[in-house]
Amino acid sequence: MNKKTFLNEFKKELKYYKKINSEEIIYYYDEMIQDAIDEGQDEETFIGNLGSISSIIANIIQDEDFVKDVKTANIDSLGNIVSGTVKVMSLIIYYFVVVILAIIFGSIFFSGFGMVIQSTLYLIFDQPTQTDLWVIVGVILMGTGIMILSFGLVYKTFKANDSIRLKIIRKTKEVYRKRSEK
Amino acid sequence: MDIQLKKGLLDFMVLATIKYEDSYGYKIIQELSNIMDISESTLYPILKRLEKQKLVDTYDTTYNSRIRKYYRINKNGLEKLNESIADFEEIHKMYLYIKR
Repeated sequence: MNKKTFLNEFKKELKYYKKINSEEIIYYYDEMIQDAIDEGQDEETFIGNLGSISSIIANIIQDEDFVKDVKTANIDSLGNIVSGTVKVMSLIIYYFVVVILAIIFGSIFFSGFGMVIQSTLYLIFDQPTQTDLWVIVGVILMGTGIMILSFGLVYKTFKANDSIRLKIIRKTKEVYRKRSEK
Repeated sequence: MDIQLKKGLLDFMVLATIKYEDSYGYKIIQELSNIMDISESTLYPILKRLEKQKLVDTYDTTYNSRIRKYYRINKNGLEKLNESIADFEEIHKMYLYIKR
């Protein structure tokens, strides 16, 4: 990751920590990275060694005095949220997304499954011509591919599940904050 | 090293680093990393705290047509650092006791 991308992502993440002086931190890291580059260090390696953005933020807010100062909202938990409505709302949105995703992945899987089954049955019970045979084998392969694809998507989504949940919680909080600030 | 123990020492380590010469974030890390394990994200809250406690002053200078923030130890900071020496002597005694 280069400096620009890193700082942009950092900025985006810091938006959720309202009381942290994000401008100052960005400024600090900008200067730090630029100094490293000027000293001849490799930009990507140096940024890689800084660790993940979330671990940097965790490290910063870990400092107790600092925490007292900045009064960070513990963004990743729903526990200390201001209102129970927000909690319920974000959970509803979360499960809604889960259901929608399940429907999408399910239909992808069944379309692949259907292709395989139908072509196999055709292959067994009707006597296909030589040309048909190629087409059928192709369709079976396609169907198998689509089924594998749906499994891959489910796996990926499960892996990203946590971050999706966090994003929804954050978004809901953000919306809530904006509304209460008005 | 134990985090709590380290946290208590780090402020003084940073003050000691800028005792004779004003310095900036990257350079402070470079100097301290010769002695101890310190990361960029550890240094930030320390500098912030030292600044808030008015133990250091800061100023900006232009370097390579960009701004660099320098930290300078002030009178309070020097006093605090000198006071810490007595504490470190005590810690040293404890160290010898633990090690015996």
